[in-house]
Amino acid sequence: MYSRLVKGGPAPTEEPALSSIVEHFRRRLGLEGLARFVMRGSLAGLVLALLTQRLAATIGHELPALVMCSIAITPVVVALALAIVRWPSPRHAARVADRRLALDERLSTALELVCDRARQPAAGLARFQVADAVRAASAASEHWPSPLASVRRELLATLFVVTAGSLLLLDERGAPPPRQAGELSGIASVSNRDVGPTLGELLPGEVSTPDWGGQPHSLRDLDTRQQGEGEVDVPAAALPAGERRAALDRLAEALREVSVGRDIAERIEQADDEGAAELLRQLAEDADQLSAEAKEQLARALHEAAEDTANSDSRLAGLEEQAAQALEDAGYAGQRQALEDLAQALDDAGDPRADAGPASRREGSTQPEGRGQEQGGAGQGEDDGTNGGTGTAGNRFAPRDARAEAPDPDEQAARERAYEPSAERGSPLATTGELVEVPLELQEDGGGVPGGDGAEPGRREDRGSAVVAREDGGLQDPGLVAAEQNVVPDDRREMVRDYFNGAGGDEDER
Amino acid sequence: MIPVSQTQAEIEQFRYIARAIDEQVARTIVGQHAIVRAVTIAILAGGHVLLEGMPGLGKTLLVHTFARVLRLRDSRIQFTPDLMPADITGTNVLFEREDGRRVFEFQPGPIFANFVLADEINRATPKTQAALLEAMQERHVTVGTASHSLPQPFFVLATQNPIELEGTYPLPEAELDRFFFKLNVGFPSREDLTEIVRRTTGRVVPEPCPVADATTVLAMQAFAREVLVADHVADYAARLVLATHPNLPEGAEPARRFVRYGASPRAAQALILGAKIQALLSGRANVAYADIRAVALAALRHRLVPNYEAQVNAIAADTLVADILRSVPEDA
Repeated sequence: MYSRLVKGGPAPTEEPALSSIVEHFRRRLGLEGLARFVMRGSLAGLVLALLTQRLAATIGHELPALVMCSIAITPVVVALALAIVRWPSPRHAARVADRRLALDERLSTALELVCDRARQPAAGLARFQVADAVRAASAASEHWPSPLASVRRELLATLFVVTAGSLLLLDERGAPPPRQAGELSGIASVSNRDVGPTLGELLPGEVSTPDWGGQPHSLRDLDTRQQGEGEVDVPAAALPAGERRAALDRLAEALREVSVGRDIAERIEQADDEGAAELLRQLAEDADQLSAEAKEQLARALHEAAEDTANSDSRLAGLEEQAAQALEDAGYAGQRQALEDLAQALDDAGDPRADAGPASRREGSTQPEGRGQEQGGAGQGEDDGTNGGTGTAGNRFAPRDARAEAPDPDEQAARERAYEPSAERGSPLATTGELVEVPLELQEDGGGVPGGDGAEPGRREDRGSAVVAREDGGLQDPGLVAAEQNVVPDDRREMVRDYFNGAGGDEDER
Repeated sequence: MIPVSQTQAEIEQFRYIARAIDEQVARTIVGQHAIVRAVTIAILAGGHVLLEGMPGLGKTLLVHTFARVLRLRDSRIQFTPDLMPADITGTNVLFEREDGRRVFEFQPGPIFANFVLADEINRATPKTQAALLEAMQERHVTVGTASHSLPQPFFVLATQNPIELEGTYPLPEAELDRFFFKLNVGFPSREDLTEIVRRTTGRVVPEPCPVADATTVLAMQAFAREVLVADHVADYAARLVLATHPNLPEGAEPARRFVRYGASPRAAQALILGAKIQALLSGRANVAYADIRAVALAALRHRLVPNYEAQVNAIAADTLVADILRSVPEDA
C-alpha cells in the first residue's frame, strides 16, 4: 500500500513484506483500540444507566426499558465512532510495534525509508535495513500481546461496575417500591399517631408485668414489641382467602383429634367461624375442667397445627402455638387467655374488620360500642387498662347473653369499683395461692372476694388480662392459682357466678 | 545495486574490527571496558575524548595502546603552565639551504599526529589550550600565513586531574564542547587491580597487536555516517538536548533547577553520531532510542553547566543527565 509513495528506493521484494507486516500490526492495534473504546463506552454506558436509574428511582419515576437501553448504548456507539476515527496510521502502528516487540525502531525506520525515498542516503544500508526490519518483525510478531491484555483494566472496571450495578438492582428489587414504601410508612405513622397516645393514656405508669420469659417487661415494652410484631407479621388482609381457609381447616383437623375440640372443628369445617369461636371461648372458660391428658392432647394438636400453618398464616400459627404452650405450661388464666385469643382469631376470619389488622382492633377497643367494647376484658391485653386489669374476671363470670349487650352504666361502674385494686380491696381472684375459704358473705365494700380477708393488694401483676396479687406482695403466676377450682365445689359454682354477676339476688338465696 | 548480503557483511566486518580493537586494548588495559568501548566509538565517529580521572589509572597507557592497535602515529604533549602554543602546533624555523639562502620552514609540532595525548590539559594556559582546541575543531593549524592540515584520522585524547586544581586553568565551556565525549575513568576493582599487578610486574608484558590502520578507520567512519536515523529518533536526540536548557520551554525540570547553561547543538551531533556507531556495533543499520541513551551520558555530561544551587548541593552532572533522560519521553 506504500508503493505509490515510493519513487525508487529499496528493492521491491522487501516492500510488500514490509507493507504486509505493518498492515498486520496496524489492524491488530486498531482492533485493540476498538476493543478498548468499546469497553470504555460500555463502562460509561453502564455507569450512566445506573445513575439514571437511581435518579429516576429517587424521584419516583420509572423509565421505560427502551430509554434505559438507549442511555446505555449511546456511549458505546460514540466510542465505536471514535475508535474508527482514530484508527492508527501505518507510522503509528510501526512505532507501537517497535516499542512492544523491542524492535529497536527497525520497523518505523524502514517504513520511513519506504515512504520517503528521496532521503535515502545509501541504497545498500537502506535495503538491508528494510530487510532486517521485516525479518525482526516477522520473528517477533507472535509476541504481540493478546487483545485481552491490552484491555485488562477496562475489563476489570467493567466487571466491577456490572457487579456493583447488579447488587444495586438486586437490592432495589428486594426493597418495596417507593410508592408502596410510602404507603406503609403512612400506615405506620397513622398507627403510631392513633394507637400510641391511646396506649399512653391507658397505661400511664410503668406497670410491671409477669415475667413471661424470665425478664420483667413493662407494658410499654410489650406495646412496642407488639407493634414491631405487627409490622413483621403478615396481616390477615394480605393473606389470600384460600390460604386463610386452609389454615383454619388445618386447625379444624387438629381439633378433631381431640374430643373436646370436635365440635369446634365441625363448626370450622362448616365455615361457621363465629360459631367455632364461640365454642372455643366456652372451652377456654372451662379450661380448668379439662383433664391433664385432654390438655396435653389439645396442646399437641394445636402445636402440630401451628407448625403446619406457620408458612400460610403466621398470625394464626402464632396463636395456636401460644395456646399450645399455655395448655402445657400456664395456669388457668393463661390457658383461658390463649384460647380466647385463638377464638378471637377465628372470629376475625369471618370478620371483615379484621382486615384492618391489629391497629383497627385497637381503635375499636377505644370506642364506646363495637366489638372491642363487647369483648370488654375478654382477654385482649390492650383492654386491660380500661378495665383495671380485671377484664378476665369480669367476662369470666358474665352470662353468655349479657356479653352481647351493652352493660348497664351503674352496674359497670360498680363492677369497676369492685375490681379496682386498692389497699383495702384486692382483686376478686386475689389469693395467696393456698387453699382459702370462700366467704359466704360479701364484705361491706361490695368487693367481696375469695380470701379477701387476708389478701393484701401487694403488687399487681398483669399478664394479658389476668391480675393476681399475692399476700406477701410477691409475683404470683396466675396460672398456679385456680381459686374457683380449689375452693368452690362443683355444685356451688353456679351460685358463686350469680353472686359475682350481681344477678344472683339477695343474701337469702346465698 | 548493492546486495543485502554485502551490506550485512560490511556491518559484520565493522563489528568485527571494533570488537578486535576492544580485545587488543584489553590485553593492556585491565578492566575499564566501558571506557575502552566509548573511546572506540569516539574514534570511529571521529571525535575527541576528554578523560578525567586520578593519576595512575592508565590514561596515558590507554592512548598509547589505541595508537598501537590502530597502527596510528601518536604523540604526547605534557601540558604545563609555561607551555606555549607553538610548542603544540609547531613554528617557523629559520633554515639555511645548501645554496646559502636562509628561509623559514615550518617545523610541525606534536599535534601533527594521528593520535595526540594532551596530558593534564588543564595545566596549560588558556592561550595554549585555545591553540590545541582550534586544531581539534578545524583539523588544521595556521602558523604565520600558512595553513597546515593535520593528518587523518586525527584524534585528541586529553586528560585532566580532578583533584589537583592548584595552578590549573579549567577548560572553558566553549572548549569543553569540542570534545565528543567526556569519560570518567574510575578506580579499578579489586580483581582488576590484582590483574594489573600481575600483568605489569611479570617478566613478559603482553603487547597489543594492530588490527586496523588509518585507512580502515576512515572507512569505518564513513560507513558509520550512513546509518539510518528515523525522524522520530532524531527528534528524540533534539528533545534531549533542548531539555538540558533551563530557559527553553522544552527544558526539563532538573535542568530548570540545577543547570545554568544547557548543551550545544554539538551535543545533538555527538548523540546521533555516537548512536550510529552504537547501532552498528549492535548489528543494526538504524539508530534506536536505546543507542542514544547509551551515549547520552558521555556526550552530555561536560556540556551542561551546573548552576550555583547544584554546586552547593553537590549534584553531579551525571545525576542531572540521568534525571533529564528520565524526564524526556521517547515518543512525543
